[in-house]
Amino acid sequence: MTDESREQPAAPAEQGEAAAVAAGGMAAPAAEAACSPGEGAPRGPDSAIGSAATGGTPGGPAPAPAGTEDAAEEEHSIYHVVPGRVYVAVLAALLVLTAVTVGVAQIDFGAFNIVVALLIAGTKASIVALYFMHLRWSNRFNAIVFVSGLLFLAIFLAFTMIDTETRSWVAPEFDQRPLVRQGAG
Amino acid sequence: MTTEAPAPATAELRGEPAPSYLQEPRGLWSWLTTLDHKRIGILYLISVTAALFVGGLFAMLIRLELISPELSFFSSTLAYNQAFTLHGAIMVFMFVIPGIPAALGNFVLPLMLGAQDVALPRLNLASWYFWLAGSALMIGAILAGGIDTGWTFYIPYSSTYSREGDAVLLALGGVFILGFSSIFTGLNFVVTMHKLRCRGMGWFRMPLFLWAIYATALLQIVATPVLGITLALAMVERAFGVGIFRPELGGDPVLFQHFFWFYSHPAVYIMILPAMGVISELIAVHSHKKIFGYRAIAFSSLAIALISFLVWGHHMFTSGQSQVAGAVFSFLTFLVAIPTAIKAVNWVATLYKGQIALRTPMLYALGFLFVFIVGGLTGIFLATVSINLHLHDTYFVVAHFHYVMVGGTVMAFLGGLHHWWPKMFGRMYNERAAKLGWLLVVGGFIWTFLPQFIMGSRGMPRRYATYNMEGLEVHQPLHLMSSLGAWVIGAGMVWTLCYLVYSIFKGRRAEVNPWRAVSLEWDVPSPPATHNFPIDPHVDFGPYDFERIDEATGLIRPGPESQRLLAAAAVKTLPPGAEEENSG
Amino acid sequence: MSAPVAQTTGTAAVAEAAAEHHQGHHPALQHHFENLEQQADAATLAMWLFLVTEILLFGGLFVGFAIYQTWYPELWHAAHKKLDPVLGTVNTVVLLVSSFTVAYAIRMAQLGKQRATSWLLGATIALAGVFLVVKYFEYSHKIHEGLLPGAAFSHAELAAQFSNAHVFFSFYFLMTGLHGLHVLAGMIVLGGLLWKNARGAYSPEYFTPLEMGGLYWHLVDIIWIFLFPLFYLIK
Repeated sequence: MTDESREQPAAPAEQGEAAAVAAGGMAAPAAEAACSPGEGAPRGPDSAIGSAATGGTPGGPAPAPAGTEDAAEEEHSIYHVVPGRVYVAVLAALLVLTAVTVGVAQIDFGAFNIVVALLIAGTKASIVALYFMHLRWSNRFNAIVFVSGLLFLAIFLAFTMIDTETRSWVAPEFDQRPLVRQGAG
Repeated sequence: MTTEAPAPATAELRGEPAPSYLQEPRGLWSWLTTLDHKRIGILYLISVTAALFVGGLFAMLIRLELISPELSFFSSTLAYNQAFTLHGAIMVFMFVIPGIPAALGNFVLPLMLGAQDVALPRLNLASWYFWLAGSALMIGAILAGGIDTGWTFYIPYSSTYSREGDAVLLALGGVFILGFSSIFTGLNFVVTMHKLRCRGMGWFRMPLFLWAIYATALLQIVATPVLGITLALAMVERAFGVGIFRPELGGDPVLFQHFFWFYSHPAVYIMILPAMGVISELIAVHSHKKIFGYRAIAFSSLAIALISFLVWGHHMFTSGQSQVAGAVFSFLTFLVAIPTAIKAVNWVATLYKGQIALRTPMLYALGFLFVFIVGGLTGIFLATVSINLHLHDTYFVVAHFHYVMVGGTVMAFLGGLHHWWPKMFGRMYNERAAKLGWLLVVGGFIWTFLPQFIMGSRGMPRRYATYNMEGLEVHQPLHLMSSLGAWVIGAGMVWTLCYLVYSIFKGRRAEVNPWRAVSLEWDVPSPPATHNFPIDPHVDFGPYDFERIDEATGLIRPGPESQRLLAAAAVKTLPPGAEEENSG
Repeated sequence: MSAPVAQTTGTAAVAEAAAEHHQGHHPALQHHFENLEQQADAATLAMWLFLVTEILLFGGLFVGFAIYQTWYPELWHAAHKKLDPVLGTVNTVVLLVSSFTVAYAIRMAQLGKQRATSWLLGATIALAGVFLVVKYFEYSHKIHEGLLPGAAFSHAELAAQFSNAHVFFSFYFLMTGLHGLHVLAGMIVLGGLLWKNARGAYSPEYFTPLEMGGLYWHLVDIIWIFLFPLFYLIK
């Protein structure tokens, strides 16, 4: 699947990063803060199609080097038509990964069960985002937006857990859990 | 427009002024269905002002009760609890959060960017209707018997104890819908700033108000949905009892506080960041001096936005949160002081050797600087866990956040309103009347809230209807002082409303650029035409390049590219024969 | 004061030129955009920002789920066995295929194949319907067994083992229920798009609403991609 899609000159780093973060990682720190000032070109007749390429991105990372002019233009346009076989390959990959996650669930990895399941789910979600949702060919800032959403969700979870997982550390007489009596089972 | 230089000739040919956005199209229906960002800004301005007065009325009633240690004005402590709950909920969700971004921001943002409108005008109008719908539910909650949960809707008050019919559900639903209004506004602004800046308008040519609005919008987008799910869960919890927050069903009420403050702490910055943006404009324009540390102020807005997501636990030091989390949140809270202080230092440095004109907007900015710094510094006390244990839920906290919210946001709102008033309505307010209003508001403010710092540090608890016990009566003189001050603020607000409304009808006509400012909203007529800019503008100057002002006319001198563009457009428009006249 | 008044009229004069200038444009182009490309770009960014709000809306429930799971691993383990992994897997496949059909529908619109677009949109809506029907059978089974939130919980076996086993099912119904509402909303949105497409509203030049509907539908799919292992598979 990935072989076919490599015809399109996209930045491989972007793909990897999105996948890592979607899988629950914490890459791309302070994404908006770093990237918003350099993004996008001011509007105007000369900055119409393919504006991200012509307008320059002083603050953000440079666009991936493209093979030809046409490819460079296509890369950031919503008018980019993805070959049908890419979609078929993506669907096949998603179905295979679903089978894998169901199969792997039969094996007990102990505490890593959830890690394995979320890694596979993250991979699937990244594939959907990159290909079905066209993030791969879309303006890079859209990907930053998406990834920062996940980053803030991670902050939400992590900082809440700093409380919920440490309530018994300093005052052991308080059970870290709320007032639920765990049954004998 | 920077490009009006050849315009006079064109104008004389036509001999009639273009109708302003206030004039055309006519009729109430055209206002209620408008997609014009300027009109939506005015609709918001009217709505949030109404909310301000309703919320203020509740504040007056609260202060009336507290003059005496016994229950005197209200019929019951329940009625008092309802009054402070509604005061808080209306002020926070219906006035302070939408106040500056949705009212002032909607009006000036596209103009400042050189854009014809916001990116999604229909969503913009929808946002106002969501505000109306949410507010209607809040009023429904009042009519259904009122709520006494506090504006924070803490579990178990909101899930179990407040049993006034369906009022709590209505209020939760109302705030849920108000959240949509806030999200739509923020989303719209981010897209507009990314996609609709005019030619030459780089990120660092945007006025600092827009940087602040941008940071605010990010908070609105990321934080508000969490409020939505929190309130939805609280509603489900109250209606069905799902046991996620309700302790008697196995839930954790502290978890509700985490969820709530994950939104509501960033929401504090949703309230104050736009105010800081307004202050940057006021201080630069009214001291007629390039702002000191443009990038520092711009990036400190983003830094505040980011840090605000890491500090919410400082609201929960005494609520059963783990002490490890308390220490972490306390430390991170101190970090907020850094970007805030960067802003304050840069504002003061801008004033230094500026041509300070003590007009009303500048007076409000100076008032902001003074009281906001007190508010900010007392925040550092409260962020310290050990001191917080003493001050928690006392009037010290009340005074602190009123110094920030009223002394900060309300003053910036009033300052910004006076600053952009000539642009909005094409009329000048009466400067002497406005100075009196400023004196009443700022004086009344300090008079009201300074005593509360003293009471609070001596242990007067907040949210008590009566204080005739345990020696708390000693605070009665300070309470009396505070109550009198509140009525002075109220008088100042009514006075301000009166002279501003009067000016719409009888005020002196405003020039295009009365303050000699350089951002693009001061380059269109006062009030602007429906179509913001006849041709898309081109900027080749920064927002504080005051040397670009032509001191004779007060207008911004167009750059060479602008002159070329306008000349080209004018030639196309003029009837035959007029061209020679124009060039001659 | 002469200059400002003059400026006002100058504005009006040039505005007419601007209005003339706009006449040659695509009917879907709004007045404040330069061209369709810019308009589509703005819509796409707005949609991604909206998807972030959706992520954080669901995020609250995911955070609550994660915390309760770490608090009560035994309860979570015992309760998840009451869910049917076969139905969960079927629904996963259904949603993945529906994501494929909507992506292909947009591709067909890009290529100007209006009928194919309509068929694929119809297929997507049908698959969404299948998803909801499967969900209906799952829900009625749970209701039958008394695996419900709050006071309605009446499953004797779990109640004997755990004092508050209903909390797992609170999360189950809230999370899948909110997701189900999004599926329903997606069916309405896609139905509207199908109707407009059948009337020829979209072309290779202008298909932004389809793209936006697709983005929304894919997000609904992504959320299910995470709900599926968390509820049906985690040991």
